[in-house]
Order: sequence, then structure tokens, then C-alpha cells
Amino acid sequence: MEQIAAQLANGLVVGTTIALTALGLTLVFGILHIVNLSHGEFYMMGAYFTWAAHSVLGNFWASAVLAALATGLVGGALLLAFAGRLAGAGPLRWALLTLGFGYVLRELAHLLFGNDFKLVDLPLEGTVPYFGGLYRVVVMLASIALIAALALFLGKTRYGVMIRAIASNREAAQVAGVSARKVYAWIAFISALLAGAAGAFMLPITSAYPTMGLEILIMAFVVVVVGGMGNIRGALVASLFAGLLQSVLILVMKPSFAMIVVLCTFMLVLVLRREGVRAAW
Amino acid sequence: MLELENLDAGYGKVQILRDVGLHVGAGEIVGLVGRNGVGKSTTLRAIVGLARRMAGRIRVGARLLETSDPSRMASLGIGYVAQHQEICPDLTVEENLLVPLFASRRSPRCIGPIYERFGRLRERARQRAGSLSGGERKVLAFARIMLLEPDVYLIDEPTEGLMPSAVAEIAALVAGMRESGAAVLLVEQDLGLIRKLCDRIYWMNVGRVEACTDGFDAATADRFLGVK
Repeated sequence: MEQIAAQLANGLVVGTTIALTALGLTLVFGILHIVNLSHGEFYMMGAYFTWAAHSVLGNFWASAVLAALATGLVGGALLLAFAGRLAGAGPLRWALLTLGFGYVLRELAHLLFGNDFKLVDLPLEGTVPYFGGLYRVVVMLASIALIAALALFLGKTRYGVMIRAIASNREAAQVAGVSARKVYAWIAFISALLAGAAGAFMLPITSAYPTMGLEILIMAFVVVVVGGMGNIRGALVASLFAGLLQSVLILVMKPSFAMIVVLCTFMLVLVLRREGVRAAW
Repeated sequence: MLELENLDAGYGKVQILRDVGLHVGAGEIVGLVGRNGVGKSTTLRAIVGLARRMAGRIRVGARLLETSDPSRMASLGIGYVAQHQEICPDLTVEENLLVPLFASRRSPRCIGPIYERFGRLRERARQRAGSLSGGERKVLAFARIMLLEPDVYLIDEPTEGLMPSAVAEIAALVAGMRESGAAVLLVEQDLGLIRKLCDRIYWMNVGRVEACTDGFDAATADRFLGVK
């Protein structure tokens, strides 16, 4: 029983990290209509930026904040640089373009940092019953805080209402005075920032390496699709479900099999409900 | 108040409007009438920057309208109510009304008079706008534009698919705009409404304005629409 409780707790930690990455992906699709296959590389960028800042500053938390902001700026600028030129382009063109971005960013990481794993020490020692390491719990809480902050920003602030207006009906929002260009800039920044924060948080656990973005991208993409492309609540529910399911399955099978079962479950959901879980509520 | 001179416009490389010219004075309701596909909606969309202007000039008051950024139109005194998709359906009724206020950095309290005027919107303030009836959606679309008190209203087929009672409400709203001294350019298929509301009518055919009449003229309607 204790083992199950511990795995469920671990599932929450994994789920919130997936959610942080998936939210950025679903925001950028829902509002900018960009299928961003380089989102995993923004996650990688967050981890490397944190490692680089940490080697200069020596403080993990300050490095993580700086890295998330830097990823938001660099990643956001990359998306926006092409958003104007590819306005109205279908998802396939964006997918191909961002696939190329991702490849270039991975190769850049190879060139700049080499193939070896870059690790920093855990910034927090100690354990919490059921949850394991204290750092993992703090990461989970920080992820929840970021998600809550995003929900508040989108739900309650002036900018949030204008962003949702553009997402709902761009032309109606524009003629009411909302600048689509500003909204796009905000969303590109926030999306990359969330991925960068997730990468920064995971650095002391997984270390940084050039292909780390590919693994998170697959899971984030699946939960975004299952959650209903562009649907924030759907992505959150699917992320937590993925984290919990994977963690519980690990009790009875190898981790690689658990991943296969999670992905097969999501494929089944998509076959049964083509719009994903969004249609379920 | 609103003046179009030799306006060419379209979408991408496809030109739809050719040499369009018209004038709407303050306190005047001017109709833009023609068969489907002649460019009436494109004329309105070109003014607000949602269709591509290729040549010609647009004046609002004494100013030349140089920008084609749709998000600047509200601040330049131009209010546009689209034919379809005129509101943000995923936002609540109140959020729809807040959007123009937030974008123009005005106080949310400016909603007060609108709620007094349109009690139904106040009742449905927390309701998702996409769940409103067709007539209520139109009223909401008008209300969010009226909040900014524009000098020029561009209104695209506001009564399409509405119940007679809702049509009468919309007609009263448009008539009220004239009373406020605004210039109204109205695209409408309902000739009864055109006859009732419009001071002048421009008649369009294949991307061009080919005639202008003071009020409704049956012979011109027969020529452009094939109806008496």
C-alpha cells in the first residue's frame, strides 16, 4: 500500500513537469496555430542555460529563473521571427519548419556543450514521506505555482482576457482594438518560458544532454493532442493522468513497457474520442 | 465623415474591388446594396484592414487613413460589426464587453450604461457568449462597438437569419446611431430595412459602385437586384 502511495506521489511530480511543458505547447497551438516540434529543444535550452548560469553564479534558483526568462526570449523570438511570414500557413508547414529548428538547436547544443551529461548538484537535500526527495516536491510545488499563475494571468488580468479574445476570434478581437502582434509576442514568450522552466527544474534530476527534448516532446505532444489541441484544461488533466498511470504501471512492469502502455492508452482514447478528453466534459 | 476614393482591394493577389468611391456624412445612414459576391462585405473589410487595400484613399473626418492594422481602427473612431463571427464565443458576455475597454485602457466601469441600456446582457453577463441566441449575439456585437462611441459605424448584414422582433431591435439600434451623429455605412439584404433606414444608397455590381440614389429607388433595385 505504501509503495502504491509513493508511486502515486511520484506520478504527481512527473505529471506536473509534463504539464508545464505541455501547457506551452498547447498555448502556442491554440493561439498562434503553430505546431511547435522544437518545443522539446526549448526545454533542453532551459536546462543548458541553467547549467551555464549555475557555473557562473553558483546559485541554482537564480540560475533557473534567469534560464527560464532567457529561454522565453530566445524561443519566443525564434517563433515570432517566422510567425509574420508564415501567417495563415497550415500546421504541416509549421511542423516541418519547427522540426528543422529543433534539429539545428540540438546540433548547436552538441557543438557548444559536447555529448556528455551536464549535471548540477541537487539544490535541496532531504526526503519527504511518500514523495521521495525534497527537491522533487519543491519542483512539483513550483510547477503547480507556475500553472496557477498562468491560469490567473489568463483568467483574471486585462492581458489574459485580450489573449483569450484573440484565441477565440482573432478578427472580432482585433477590431475591438486588441493588437494581435502583441498577443502573439506574449504567447510565444510564455510558451518558451514554461518549457525553459521545466528544463531548468529537471536539470538536477536528469542532467542536460542534447536529445533530452525529444523524450519530453513526445509525451507533451501526446497529452496536448489527447487534451484537445489548444485546450489548457484538457492538457492539464491528460498530463496528470499520464504521470500517475506511468508511475503506477512501473510497479508491475519495466519503465519502458509502462511508457508503451501509457502511449497505447492515449491512442485508444483518441480512437474512441477523436477530439480527445475535451469532449468528455 | 467617411470617404472612399478609387479604392481597389482584395485578398492575396485576387482583386475584388475596383475603383470604389463613396461618401458617408455625419448623422447619415448610407446603404451598400448589391447581389451576393459583388464586394459589399469586402468594402467594409478593406476599410478596417481585414482585406488588402491595393490602391486608393480612405478618409475618416479630415484624416487620411494610412494604417491597415485592424487593431488601430477602434482608436481611430471606426467601429465594425461583422456579418458572421462578430463576437468572441469562448468568452463570457461581460468579457466580450471588457475587451474593447481593456484594449483602449478605459475603466471597466464604462460597461454600466451599456448594461442599463441592454438589460439582457447584464442578466447574461457570466454566460458564455457562444451560447447566446442569434439576436442576442448581434446585440452584444453592437454593444461592444458602441462602448467606444465611434464616429463611423461599418455594419455588415446585421439582420441575417434573425427573428422579426430581433430585426426591429437592430433597426432601432442603427437608427439610434444616426441620432448620435455618427456616420453609418450599412450592408444589408433586407430591402425593407434599407428603405426604412437609409438616407442614400450606393448600388454595387462586380466590385464597382455603379449608382447612387437618394433613398430607395425601385427601378434601381430592379436593375441591380432583379426585384421591384
